[in-house]
Amino acid sequence: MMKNIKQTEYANRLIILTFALIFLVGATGLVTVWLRHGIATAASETRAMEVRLNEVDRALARVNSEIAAGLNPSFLHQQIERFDLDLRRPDDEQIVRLGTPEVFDGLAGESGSAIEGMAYREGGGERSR
Amino acid sequence: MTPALASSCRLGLLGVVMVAGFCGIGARLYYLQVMESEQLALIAEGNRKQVIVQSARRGNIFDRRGNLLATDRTFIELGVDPQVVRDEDRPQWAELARIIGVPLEELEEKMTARVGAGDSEFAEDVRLVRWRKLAEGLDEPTYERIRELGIRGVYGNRQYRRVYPGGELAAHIIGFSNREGVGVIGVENAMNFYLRGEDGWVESERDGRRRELMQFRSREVPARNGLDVELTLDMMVQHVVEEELRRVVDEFSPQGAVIIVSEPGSGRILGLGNYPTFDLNQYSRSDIAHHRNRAITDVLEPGSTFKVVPVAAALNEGLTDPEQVFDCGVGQVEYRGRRLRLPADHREFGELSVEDIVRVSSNRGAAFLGLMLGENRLHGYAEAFGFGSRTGFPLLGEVRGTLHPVRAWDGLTITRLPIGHAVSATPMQIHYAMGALANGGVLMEPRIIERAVDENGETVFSFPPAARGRAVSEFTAETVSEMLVAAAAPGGTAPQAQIDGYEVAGKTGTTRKIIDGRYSNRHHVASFSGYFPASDPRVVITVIVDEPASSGPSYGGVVAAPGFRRIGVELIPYLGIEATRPEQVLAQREGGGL
Repeated sequence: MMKNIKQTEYANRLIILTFALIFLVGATGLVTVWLRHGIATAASETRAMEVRLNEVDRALARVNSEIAAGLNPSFLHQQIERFDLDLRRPDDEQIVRLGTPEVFDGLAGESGSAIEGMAYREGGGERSR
Repeated sequence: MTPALASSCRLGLLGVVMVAGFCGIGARLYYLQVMESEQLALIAEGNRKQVIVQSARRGNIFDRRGNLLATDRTFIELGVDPQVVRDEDRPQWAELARIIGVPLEELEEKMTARVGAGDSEFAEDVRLVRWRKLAEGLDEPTYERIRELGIRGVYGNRQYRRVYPGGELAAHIIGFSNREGVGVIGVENAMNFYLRGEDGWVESERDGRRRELMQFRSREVPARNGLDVELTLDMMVQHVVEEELRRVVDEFSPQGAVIIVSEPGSGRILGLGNYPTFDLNQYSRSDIAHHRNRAITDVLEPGSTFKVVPVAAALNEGLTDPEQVFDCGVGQVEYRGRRLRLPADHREFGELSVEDIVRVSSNRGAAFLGLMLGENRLHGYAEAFGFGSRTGFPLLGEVRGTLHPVRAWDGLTITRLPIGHAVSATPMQIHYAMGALANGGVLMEPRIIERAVDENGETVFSFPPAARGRAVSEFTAETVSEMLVAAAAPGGTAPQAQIDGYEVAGKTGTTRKIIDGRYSNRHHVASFSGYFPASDPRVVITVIVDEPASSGPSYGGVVAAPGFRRIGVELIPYLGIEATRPEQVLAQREGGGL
């Protein structure tokens, strides 16, 4: 009688362990599948972003080259003539060279004491008193 | 047969069939997994695995102010797979034909031709057409419009192509790279190693639709894009140079022309233009002779521009001074026991000081200075000014010109070399020889590449100014400069080079070309090389015009010097060059000029 009970106990334990093992293996499988799916999804997203980045790079290169073509002096001259803008380069009279005393004198003469004060402010201008 | 026996026979038979089946499967598995395993594994791996090459982007080329001169751009090659074209898309074909600019009939023919001739010798052999090119060079927006039409089987392949936004601008400097991405000429060639970058690769797996399964990437070597190259060139200065070249061509219809603008102190080239030129975006359609950078590949006799060498040499050696007078009316002289005929001048001069020799460009005066120097010293100074050796310009094709060793001179060379005959030089050599005087006597190496930078804008390496050596002392250079100011003033050979308010120093050159072994009276090379302001030179400008078609004499002062002036006037406001004689500018302005 004792022997039968022990055998039943052993069999029950074996069944439980088997079920547990099946559950564990199944769970591991499911987790693996879930992880792989996650990795695949993340990889796809990365790939999509890579493609998008490449597209942006391509667009940027296109825009940059079009801007460069638009800044070509010959093209700009054509545009000036086309739109009859009558633009000319500045002559020497219109050019004020920074860092020369004439600049400060001229500014002070034109705009009064406020600019003069700024130009001669202690430590603030090139010509501090 | 009892039912029990029948049942047992059936079971036995079933068992045998099952065993045989399993044996068959086992045998097949053994064949696949053991006998053919290696080959099949290779096929499976080949189907699954792939190596994707990631192309490196070729670096850009910029001018010194960051203006883009060369870059890579994608273009689409559009094609069709006739096997998957659907009839229901036919209404869209007209619009597609309009977008890509081909006749509808031609498009229909390409869209519907599903078979083509095979490669074998049999006439009946045909192959299925899976790709037929419809158009190439389409940009992304155009391709997007085509995709929106939703025509099945029509798709494009992206191709990177080099584009040059300036077209002809600085064509000979920038150069071009071919369809394989290899630089052929110009900076594209000289800096190819740095511009090209290194392709990367990815080892990965793909699914049944040949899409990459990114999660199975096993090895990845990222592409390393090429470095960007910054030139010393200034796009605006280059434009001014090329505008002047156009003007020279319109006025004189020459065989060729070269203009170089550089900074004397650093040797930086700000602008360099050649005629004839070509469009970099259509280099394959241009004459290959137009690809030649004449500034470094062509040689000419420098003529009178060379006279600065004997003058500077004689002054530097202390053999003469600016006031010493020579009788330039004499046609023959005694030299080391021989009677030598002196070269003729373009008009009769009497006594001339050294200053006057430079001012009026006297051949005999220069010959006298050559005789004073003697063969070895004259040759040595010519070398010191860079003649007979390459300037060190980094682009392909530079020649060294000809400066014969003294032992190879004939009896006349001592009087002909000082006037720029019996020597040949490239425009670049002439330009930098003049630049040495502008730079206090120090001969600089030409610089066209400023630096190479990585994607983050960090300088990877730069090319600092490099001196080739001292040609003459600073004092001598200043003295010659003063003489050259007189040459470019009223009474000199090139008053047309004068710029109001600025001291211009320069020297004209007019050389007869050698045609059929003789100096021609009709074929000339006119040149002017100079700099300004003479007291503190900011730019050196050289204008050389080969065979100008002029109604009058093709003197350098008439043909080339005005070009120098026009370029100088344009550069003054752009480079902020201050007047050295402001009262002249003022007087000119009040007089309504400038």
